[in-house]
Amino acid sequence: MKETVRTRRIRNLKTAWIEAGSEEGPILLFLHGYPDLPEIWRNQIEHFKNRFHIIAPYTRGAGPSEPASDISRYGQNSVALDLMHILKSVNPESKKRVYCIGHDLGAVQAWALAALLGKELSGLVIINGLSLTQMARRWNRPEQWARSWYIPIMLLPKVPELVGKLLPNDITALAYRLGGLKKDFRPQVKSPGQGVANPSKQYKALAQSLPEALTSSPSPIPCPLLVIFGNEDSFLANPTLDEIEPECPKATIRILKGNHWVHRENPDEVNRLMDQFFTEPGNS
Amino acid sequence: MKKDLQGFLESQSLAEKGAREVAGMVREGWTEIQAAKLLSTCLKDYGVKSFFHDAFAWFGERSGFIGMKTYGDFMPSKRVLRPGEVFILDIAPIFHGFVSDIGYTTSLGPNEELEKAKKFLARIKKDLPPLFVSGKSGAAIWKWVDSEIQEAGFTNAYKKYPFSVLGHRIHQASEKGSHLQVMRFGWQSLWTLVSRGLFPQLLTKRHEGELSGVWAIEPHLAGKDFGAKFEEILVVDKAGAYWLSEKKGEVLNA
Repeated sequence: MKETVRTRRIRNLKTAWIEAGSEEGPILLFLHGYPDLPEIWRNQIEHFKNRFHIIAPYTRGAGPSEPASDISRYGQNSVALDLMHILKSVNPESKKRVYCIGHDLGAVQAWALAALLGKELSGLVIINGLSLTQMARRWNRPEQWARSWYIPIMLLPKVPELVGKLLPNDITALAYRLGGLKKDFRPQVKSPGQGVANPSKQYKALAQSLPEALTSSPSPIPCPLLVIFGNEDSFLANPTLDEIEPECPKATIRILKGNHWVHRENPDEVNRLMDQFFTEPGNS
Repeated sequence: MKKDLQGFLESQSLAEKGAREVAGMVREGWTEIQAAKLLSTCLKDYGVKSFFHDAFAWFGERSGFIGMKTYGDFMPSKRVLRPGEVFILDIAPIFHGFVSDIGYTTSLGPNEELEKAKKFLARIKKDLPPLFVSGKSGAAIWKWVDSEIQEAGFTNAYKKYPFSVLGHRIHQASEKGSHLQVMRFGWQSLWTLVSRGLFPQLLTKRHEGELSGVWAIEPHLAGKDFGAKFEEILVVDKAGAYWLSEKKGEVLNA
């Protein structure tokens, strides 16, 4: 199938995703983070497209995905509902295997989706990201506080949206610079800043869900989980099995040398680990 | 009394749309808490800013209120849904100032007992409206439904609602102060009922007085290990008594 950007009206909002690869193959659902676009997954799309059906949505408010006026529409539950609709659209009879891969805030969405799909999800891959519950419970880890310095800025009323509107490409470049992603590894897109202004509302939406994340105990997800983490992440401290296992008993963590965008910096190793994960007995 | 029935119909249609959408997504392994949260989120995404009551979800035997004693027992729980089990989604949004209250019953896969219960409830739904204009009292209607449920071999589950209501009136309500809820009921639910004297607003086994108005009627039965209900708006006015859903496509104004 020729790579295409599809758009559909989902729950009253125009929603877009890149679709590519083999229609006969299992689905790989790639969820990008902030301030990225689906192009951040280019190395994975090219590697897996011959064998898998690739779906890489533009998160709410990024690129052609219509922004929402309500902050709550950027929250993990609303996004999970949108993703369920996208999956229904590409896999109407739920006959295909589905794997979900999430990075950064895309990881929050991936965890939320995994909780809804249950046994229907064949595997979850998290790259330099956490669930909302895991993030909330890091309140007592000083090494995480130091890395989360930018979050209060993202929670300011109107400021991130306004700055993101005025200087989108500069904000994207700044994020990459702070995260250690050299220019050679950055996605080559015409307007890289399309993921900046409106998607910044994700932070406010997730902050609204924090009290619930702190007090609830999510049911464990039944599918296997592969966590891939670049160990020089400026924004997230390395994960531990202790913090992940309550949400997924079948978790494996692989720490690689690399930054927050390890799948851009070290795509061969990331792709190899994912290949292995997708073909492991029990996962395939 | 002049009410804009179109507003109530839109509120109810939206609630039903949300319930059907979420019911279609419910999977084995979901908890009631998850289902209720998703239903609430779904309606908020469609523009609902406030609730007469927030979402409830009851799975399996809890759909018949079996073993439930205190009000706290009715809150969405960590009960997990298993294949073949019945579940109920119940939510009451305030949409553009109009309250609706719906109950949607289905199952995760085929369930013969539920199909029998649904056939019975369909008959009750057909027989109820004429009773509201027959001269019967509200109390008599309550007892009629109760007796029909028992004769059909089920148990009356609506006895376990607060005040054992078969239904309650609904009105236009404010969308402000949406976060002020007590046990999932918005402050509006208390105000719209108490400010009008409370008991005439509730269809209980002791109800007296006139029956005209806009009601949310919710016959709820229990079988051996499940329950089933429907909940819809019934209008009683000069035109008679009718389910508001039967007026879809018409321009309404009472």
